[in-house]
Amino acid sequence: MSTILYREGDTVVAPATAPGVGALAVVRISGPDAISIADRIFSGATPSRAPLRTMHHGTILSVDGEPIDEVLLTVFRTPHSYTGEDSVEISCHGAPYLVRRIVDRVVAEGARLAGPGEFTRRAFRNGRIDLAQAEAVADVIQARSAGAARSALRQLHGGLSKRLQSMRHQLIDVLADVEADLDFAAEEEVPSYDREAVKATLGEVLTIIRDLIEKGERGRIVRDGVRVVIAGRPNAGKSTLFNALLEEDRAIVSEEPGTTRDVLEGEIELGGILFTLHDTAGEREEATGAIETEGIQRAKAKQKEADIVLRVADRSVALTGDEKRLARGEHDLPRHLLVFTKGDLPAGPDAAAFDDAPRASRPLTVCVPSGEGLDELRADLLRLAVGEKEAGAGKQGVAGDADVTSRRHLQALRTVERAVVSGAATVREGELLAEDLRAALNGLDEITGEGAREELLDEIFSRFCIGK
Amino acid sequence: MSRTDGKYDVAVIGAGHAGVEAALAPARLGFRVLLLTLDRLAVGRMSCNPAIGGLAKGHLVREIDALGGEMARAIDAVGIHFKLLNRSRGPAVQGPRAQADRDGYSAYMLGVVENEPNIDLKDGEAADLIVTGGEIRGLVTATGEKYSADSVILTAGTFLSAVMFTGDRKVAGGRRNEPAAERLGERMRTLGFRTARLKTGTPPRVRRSTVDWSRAWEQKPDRPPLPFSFGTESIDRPQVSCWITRTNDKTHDIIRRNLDRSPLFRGEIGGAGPRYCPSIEDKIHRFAHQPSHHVFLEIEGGDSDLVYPNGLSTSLPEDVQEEFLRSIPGLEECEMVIPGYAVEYDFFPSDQIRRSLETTLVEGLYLAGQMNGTSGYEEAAAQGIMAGINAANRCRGDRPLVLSRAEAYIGVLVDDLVTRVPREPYRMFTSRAEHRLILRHDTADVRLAPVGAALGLASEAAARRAAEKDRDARREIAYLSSRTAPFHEANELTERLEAGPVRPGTKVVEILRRPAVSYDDILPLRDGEPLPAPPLRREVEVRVKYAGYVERQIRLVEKLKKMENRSIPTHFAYEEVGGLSNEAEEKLTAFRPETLGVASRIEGVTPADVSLLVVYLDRWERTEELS
Ligand SMILES: Cc1cc2nc3c(=O)[nH]c(=O)nc-3n(C[C@H](O)[C@H](O)[C@H](O)COP(=O)(O)OP(=O)(O)OC[C@H]3O[C@@H](n4cnc5c(N)ncnc54)[C@H](O)[C@@H]3O)c2cc1C
Ligand SMILES: Nc1nc2c(ncn2[C@@H]2O[C@H](COP(=O)(O)OP(=O)(O)OP(=O)(O)O)[C@@H](O)[C@H]2O)c(=O)[nH]1
Ligand SMILES: [Mg+2]
Repeated sequence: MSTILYREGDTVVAPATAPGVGALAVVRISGPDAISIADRIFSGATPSRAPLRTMHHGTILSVDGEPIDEVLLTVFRTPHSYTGEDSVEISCHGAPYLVRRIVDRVVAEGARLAGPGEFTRRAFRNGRIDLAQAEAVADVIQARSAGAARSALRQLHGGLSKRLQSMRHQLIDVLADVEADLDFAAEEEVPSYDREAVKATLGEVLTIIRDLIEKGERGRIVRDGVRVVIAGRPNAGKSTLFNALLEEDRAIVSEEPGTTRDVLEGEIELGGILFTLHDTAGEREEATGAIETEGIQRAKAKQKEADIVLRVADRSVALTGDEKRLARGEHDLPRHLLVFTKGDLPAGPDAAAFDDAPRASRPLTVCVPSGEGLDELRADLLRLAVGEKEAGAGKQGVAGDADVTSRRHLQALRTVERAVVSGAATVREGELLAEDLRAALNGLDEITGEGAREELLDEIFSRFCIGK
Repeated sequence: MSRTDGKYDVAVIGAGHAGVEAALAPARLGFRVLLLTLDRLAVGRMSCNPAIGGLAKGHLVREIDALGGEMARAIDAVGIHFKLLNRSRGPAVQGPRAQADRDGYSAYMLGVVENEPNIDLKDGEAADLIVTGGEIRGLVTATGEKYSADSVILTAGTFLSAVMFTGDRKVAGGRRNEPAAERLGERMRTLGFRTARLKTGTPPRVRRSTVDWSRAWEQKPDRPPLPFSFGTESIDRPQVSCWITRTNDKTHDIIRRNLDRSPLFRGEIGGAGPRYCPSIEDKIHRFAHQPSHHVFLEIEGGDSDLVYPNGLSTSLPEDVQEEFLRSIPGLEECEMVIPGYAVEYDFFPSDQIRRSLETTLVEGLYLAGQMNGTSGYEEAAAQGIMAGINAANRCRGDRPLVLSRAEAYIGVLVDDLVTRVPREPYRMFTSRAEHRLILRHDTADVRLAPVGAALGLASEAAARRAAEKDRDARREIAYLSSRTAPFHEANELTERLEAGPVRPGTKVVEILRRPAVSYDDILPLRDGEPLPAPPLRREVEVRVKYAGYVERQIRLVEKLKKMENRSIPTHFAYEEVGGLSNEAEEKLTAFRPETLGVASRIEGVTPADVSLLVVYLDRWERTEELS
């Protein structure tokens, strides 16, 4: 329900072909900035000067000018395009992570990801397709929309849908008990819900959810790769480490703090998995000027999308409070890894305090000039991405049929996980527990496309004799 | 209109719980109001249970009060047994309830109505509505008087084509010894309104002096009683207890033996009854394994000789009622004064009203109360005050007042009505409110007093008091959030309460957030700052404990606001939206939702339908712009 609101006038981008393993894929950009964005990311011709509907061979470049993929690019001008707006279609190679990188690149230039059916919606609004066509497309949207309950469920693999369904029923049962207690126990003969039983059920659900997340995450990572964002204070040695991991001189390194301004990208392969590394501007309060401030903004934004944040701290200087907490493992951030750099320089007093700690509770120290710690860092990254067991097992298998792999569904599952954990911690406060259970159910409903408004009262009335 | 017996801004038909509030609101805002009712002695009469409030219903009453309505003040004046329900559970699900002196309640309401100079209270039956050009102009009584009015609010309760059942006896009438209203329903149908049937029931009443109280278990009222109205200082009436007894095997046998004499089981009543308020025969039939059901013996008033046996609603024949009553401990020798009965009545499926409670068919005609498919005095009064406010706003040329689901239970109630037609008499529950934690009964003033004051209905002073209460709570929370807890005291405290260890530098607010810690526990962690008064302490404690959840709800509300409020033109052509499922098209056409948010909640409308709607709305607006 929440994702349906679109803004007008935006430029949007999305893969126009079904995600999968086709040899070629098409990325479509539509909206007022489509062509100027193409100008900025494409080398080969200048799309804004290209004649109508001509195809051009060239390369899509990353932010720092590195080639992402060799593509064919076609320019369409309003109203002669599918959507009726200025549009660009990019035929690229079909590898999902390439498609994703191209889409990301376009987003970085100011476009927004298109919502389901949004291209068609624009086409329709601009009078490009008539009612009959719109209806035909509408059927497709209807069939595809996550919300269209039953059809969405059918799309899910049988085994997965069964697991989700059974969790949903478990949660509804618990919620019915809790709500009956809240709404009726004071006036009616309704038993209070059994806290231990609730805890047990939530425990079971949590095990399943975590299993689904873990498997799904692994499947997604195998398919799309892992985004690692290198972050830290200026001069910590981020760019140096970035270059070392890439094994090439990509980023400018200097002793001047605030050297890196924009986000740089590079790819490496570890254990058969693609890792995209992002070097970012160093964060500090007293940024000098608009460019550095913008760079810091971008660095923060990148961290939000990261699978892993690699936080780099210079061990030879004093550490910040945050860095100390991270180094001690006192944080609840998922997938944060702190490393000390400049292992060849004497440790400052803060870092020295960790020298005697056992390896498990001591941050890894690397030294780029000697190469010390780099292999360990690679191993740590792999472990963080795919888990202990898999990291040892070498190359990954693809995701199984019964796994949730879409980013959106995984996000929904994480919402469910958080809600269930929070619910288990608050079983004594019925009205808060109910809140968590509802949040968990909403998360599941986002995947299965169901809704539980009347169902709940039905459940209560069928189970308890209510009424004086 | 040729001749008229009176000209009014607003005419209200029916002076039940909806009608009284519907008349008072516009009258207090300065409009001339006609209040026409079958019998002035039945103004604000409690048809069934002599009690106001309860879980979720108590919330409604306090919201009505904050807006400037009367119900809370009435029950505060005549309540004889106050109880805050769910005391052992969280603050959001506690609800005030009070038993009333039944006759005292009507007398109070009659007094208020008679003393309101802008209300003309008249006895009479509305039989006809005057409508020209799709707009209401007035009404005609059964005896031929004509009254003109710019707006008319219909609050006829259970009276339209009503039939009462006791065993095989069937009598026309909306309440014991009161007639039914036959002609008005007919007139509404000729205007194009659809009606359907619902049913409800009431237990027999027994003589107080014939009850053996020693055989029942006494339940004492709260001391001191918590008033409903934010303006009431104290409750002065003497308070009475309530007694609890139980049905047994014998009761159940008698009822089972006579099931075939119940009009319900013989299939004579077609209308659906409320599942949460079943008749005793229904309970025994559906929950056959349950050996006993409790019965509350509630006195109908300090001086009343009647007792209301709450839990024994029935439409079995009189002789069976008498027999099963006497099988119950305490009632062995009782005299049954009035038999119980079921009543079946017409209601207007609620896809015929807008959120203002104005009908979609006739401009200026509003429906409120039981007639929209709800049940209960509080639900009726809540709609009554909203219809009254909106009739007044219409007179003033102002936009209707619509409360959102995140603002008030009243908002939930109205939104539920305009998104799904009740299949059983609709009662409010806290679980219907997805924003339950932000809709506590004791914050109704903070939420709604400003709205009431802006309308001119609630006093400025009330709004100011609410604002002060809110400000003081915020101030204290800000203080607790900035105050670092003294390390040793804090650890001693949390150790004693088994509330987990405390790190140096922890703020007091973080300690208060822990489930095991109450406000009074943290008193030693404060410094010299002046202590807040006990009610404020509690308010602060609740806010702190709920904070995470409340913030999440507020974020969600904000996120959805834009779509929620995107309006859909009244004459939007749903049949032109290709791809809508049949069910969605049918429902949308019937309900004519005013906003996309409302549309998305209509039963049978899927998110995909909403996406399509967005597409066509865009196009509709484009073509409207062009033409
Ligand atoms: C037998 C019975 C059992 C009930 N049981 C329960 C219960 O268990 N739980 C519960 O929550 N609620 C119950 N109720 C419902 C409760 O009484 C109503 O919800 C509430 O009174 C509705 O308020 P109202 O203002 O809509 O209508 P009412 O209180 O019914 O008032 C309607 C008023 O309109 C007047 N009127 C009607 N037609 C006309 C006309 N044509 N012209 C002029 N005046 C007219 C009537 O005289 C009456 O004063 C019961 C009601 C009855 C009758
Ligand atoms: N001795 C030593 N110097 C290092 C090491 N790593 C980085 N440096 C130096 O530290 C300085 C800063 O390195 P960068 O990699 O540019 O640091 P950065 O974190 O990218 O800095 P900004 O881009 O300004 O945020 C340079 O002079 C590097 O040569 C190391 O392992 N040992
Ligand atoms: Mg750098």
